Amino acid sequence: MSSMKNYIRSICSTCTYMAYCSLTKDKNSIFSCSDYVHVLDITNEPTLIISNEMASKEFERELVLNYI
Amino acid sequence: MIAKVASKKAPKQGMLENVMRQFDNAADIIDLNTNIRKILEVTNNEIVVHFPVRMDNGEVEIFTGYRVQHNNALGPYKGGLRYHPTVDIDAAKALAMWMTWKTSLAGLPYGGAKGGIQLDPNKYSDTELERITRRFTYALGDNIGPELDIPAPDVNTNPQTMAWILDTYMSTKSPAERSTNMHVVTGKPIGAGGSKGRDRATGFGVFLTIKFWAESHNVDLKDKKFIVQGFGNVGYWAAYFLVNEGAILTAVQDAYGSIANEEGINVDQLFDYQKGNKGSILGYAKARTIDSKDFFSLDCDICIPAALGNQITPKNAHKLKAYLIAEGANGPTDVDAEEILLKKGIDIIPDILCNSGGVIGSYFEWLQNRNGEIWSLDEVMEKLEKKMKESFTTVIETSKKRNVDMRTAAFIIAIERLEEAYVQRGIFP
Repeated sequence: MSSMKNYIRSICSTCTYMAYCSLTKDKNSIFSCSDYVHVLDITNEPTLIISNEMASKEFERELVLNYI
Repeated sequence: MIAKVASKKAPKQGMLENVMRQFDNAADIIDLNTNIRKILEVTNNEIVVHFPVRMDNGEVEIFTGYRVQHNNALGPYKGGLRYHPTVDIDAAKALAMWMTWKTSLAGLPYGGAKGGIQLDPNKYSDTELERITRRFTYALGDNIGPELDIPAPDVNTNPQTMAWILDTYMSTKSPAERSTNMHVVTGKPIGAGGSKGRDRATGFGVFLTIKFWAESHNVDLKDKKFIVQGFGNVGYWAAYFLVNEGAILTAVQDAYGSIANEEGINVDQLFDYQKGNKGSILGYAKARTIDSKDFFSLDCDICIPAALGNQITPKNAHKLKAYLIAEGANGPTDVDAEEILLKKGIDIIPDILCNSGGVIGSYFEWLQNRNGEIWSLDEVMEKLEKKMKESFTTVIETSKKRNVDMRTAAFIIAIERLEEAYVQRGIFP
């Protein structure tokens, strides 16, 4: 968790792109980002498929975060 | 010593500071009633819950969850829940306040809220995350509710998380009441009460505001060049709809790097390439890789920062070639850069308006659940366009009437709606 010390109040600290992200050099105070991907999201599939539509291309996009 | 201080890098503008600055600016212009200003400057409720959860190894861990409810003068509190180590009361306060202005400007019957749990999801298994979510929902109890406070996905939470919250919340109700609580959260999977079109709502909204701006300025979007920072949910859909309108996508930047092609980049081909390339746009054959630091100075008509905050600063503002900036992300233009851009005559469609399609999409999901309806994708898109058009027109008219920029106009509208509600209802007792 040493990254937490470097990136103050920033979601970048747990982002999979943290080490090489080209969007910004200053990774402090980042509170939302459309490219944010937690390491967990890359390694794990959704745990629950309720309908076929959820498995569609559109739903995969819905899994991308930052709704609001 | 003075020289040393002067040369020190200016601190990045924090969320709360930015939100308060924009609020104060608009409040001063409209000479906001002092008592109402006092009310809006503080949050209504700040809920902190500590709750135990059994881990996979049998140990019990205590978690801290937050829910800040800023204001509900216009309707139930609305805002996301995020799971992240940086979640705390201060972060939630700023984001909750932001939601109040956003829902008010969008003309929705909602207030503003935000919350989450202070944790790193990477440390927990899926089953642990499910138990954490369910126990958090139980701890919040009746502090959330379909007519009181409606959470939505945010950082590290997704439709699955919302489905768990829904299931847990419904389980605490009597059997006869359960189905009347489907709208306690939005952003649900479609099979569990989610709405069609929710995935593209924000990006479509970004596109619509650009289209409305073009119409109001007699600009034809055909062959207009645009660049997009961020090729996630927002950037992709905004680009998709703009290209359908005849505009040309000439450059894209994501976490991996930047690519450009003045002849145009095929949005769907790039999306498919990115998907098969571990999420990276780099290496796409029909565009060249460019230095990311040059991205915002590329020649274009429209610039869409759709990734993260503080991207357009005094450092790069003067290099921008676009005549329109559409803020798909939250807070991509800092205050000092905005001054430079406005002086240059560059129009900015402010984030609070530009990316409000997402929360409007949430509102549609809530309405469908509340009324027992299921709308088709076409219906959702049609209603979204109507709602965004109303917001955009009001902002443009206010901007002209008061001779202010679009961001200030947006804040003025949001605050005036809240002021009107307080003036008409009065303050109890």
